[in-house]
Amino acid sequence: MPEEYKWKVVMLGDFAVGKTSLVRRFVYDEFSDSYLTTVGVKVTKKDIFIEQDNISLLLWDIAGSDRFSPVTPEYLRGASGAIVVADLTRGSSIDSIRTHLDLILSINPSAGIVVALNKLDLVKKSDERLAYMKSDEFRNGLSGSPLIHFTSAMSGENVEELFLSIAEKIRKASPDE
Amino acid sequence: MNDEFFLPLFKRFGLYYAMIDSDLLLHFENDAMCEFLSVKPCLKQVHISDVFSEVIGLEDEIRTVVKGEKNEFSIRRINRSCSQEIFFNLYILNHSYKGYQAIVVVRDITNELLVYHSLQQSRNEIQLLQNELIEKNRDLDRINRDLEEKVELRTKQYHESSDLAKRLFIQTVNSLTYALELRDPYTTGHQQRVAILASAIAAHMGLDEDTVEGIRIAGLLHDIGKIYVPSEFLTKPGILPEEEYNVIKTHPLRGFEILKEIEFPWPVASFVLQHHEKINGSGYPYGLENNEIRLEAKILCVADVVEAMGTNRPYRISPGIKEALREIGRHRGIRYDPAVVDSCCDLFRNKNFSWD
Repeated sequence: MPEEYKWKVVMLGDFAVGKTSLVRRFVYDEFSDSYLTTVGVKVTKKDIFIEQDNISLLLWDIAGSDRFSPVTPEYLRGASGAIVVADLTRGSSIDSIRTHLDLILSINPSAGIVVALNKLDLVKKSDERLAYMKSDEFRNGLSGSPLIHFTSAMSGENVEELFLSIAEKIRKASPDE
Repeated sequence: MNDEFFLPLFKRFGLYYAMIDSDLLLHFENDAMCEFLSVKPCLKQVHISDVFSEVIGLEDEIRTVVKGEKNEFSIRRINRSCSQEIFFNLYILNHSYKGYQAIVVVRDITNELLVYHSLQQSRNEIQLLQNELIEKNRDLDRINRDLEEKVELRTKQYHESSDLAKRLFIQTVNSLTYALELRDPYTTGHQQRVAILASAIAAHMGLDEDTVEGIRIAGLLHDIGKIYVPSEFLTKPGILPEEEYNVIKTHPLRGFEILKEIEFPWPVASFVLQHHEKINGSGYPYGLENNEIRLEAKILCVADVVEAMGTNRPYRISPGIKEALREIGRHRGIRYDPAVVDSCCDLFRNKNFSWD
């Protein structure tokens, strides 16, 4: 029997890593290269189908954090999943992945989590750092060894796969399955 | 609440409310909240998640407030793009009113958040630029380090090849000296001693290090032309017959011919060519006079005479250094450059110069 689900998925990551752009690309298939910071939280709904099940993803696009403006933990309550986003061109945002993973797992240990390393279009394929981030060593160094997607909100590369992946992860962990 | 009285005040301060029951259905007394949120005119009863998708997944928490197990539930800084950009805080408060156990309050914070947004935008942009600057500096540091390593490597290679060139040069000079000494073992060490004395005279005269070194090298090679002279002429004691002496006198020119194609850092071949010229024109091979003779050749000439007279040969007893100095003193300003003679005499008499 087809089922209907509504899952809250939070977008976490440092500011200007492309969280809003990933949501816009996935939901509206749009992209703007001008940077507009997010304040507070903006919830966008996107319906998808996985094996006849109708799934409403409520994408919580949260203001990016830094050491002066940490993530508001109340936004993470009740989240079924989280996408931790980092900017491939900004080493500090990649270093922050661990902090974001620890935060979501401390508030919601059962949340499904995937990592998006965004702005792939700005990185040379031959970049040594890219090869390292594609390695098991990098992935296994992160809490829970999450799936890692290399995305480009600008070109759309791997964006749909990213959101379908988090939905699959939540679905598999769902008690109804 | 008296709507007629409170509603305009609430609106003015950006406050909107509705009641909520235990099934989480909203009950509106007016359309103000729906107008603010730009949602369709509200039905009398609608589930809270249909108006506030932000609470999906949090229904159990809201129920605890409606039941009175908790006083308040809130989500702050919610952003929506309706007909215009709005920001609001959503509160669900346990507050009895008209038979309902809880009310939903929306507080419009659009104006303050738009100001905050503008500040945050500027701050983030500045921080992005700072990050970019840091990354660029790191790149520059990396490039600098690479360059420094390359320069260091090239410098090392240069020093190695320069050292090799110097070694080859010295070995070549030594080989030429050795070649002559093989033919004329009686003058073994003569060229080395002339080189030592000539460079000491030059240094004592205050000439620069490079010139002194050129004189030393010329001293080591000054008799190389004797390689063409039959060895019995060189070692014959007493006065030589004129024809044999004339053969010996060709050695400066022969030396010049041997050395002229070698790219020394100094005109060594010319020094060698002129080292038997005398300032009064009585020397050979060309009988050059004072200003036509290079200073380096004048120094070699004096050092050659003093060494030849000051040291023993297997075929003759040395007249001694004192006699050698008297000899150059007698001809000071006649055959030999006076400044060179003075420097040489001062070295032996006052500076304890010796070859030992």
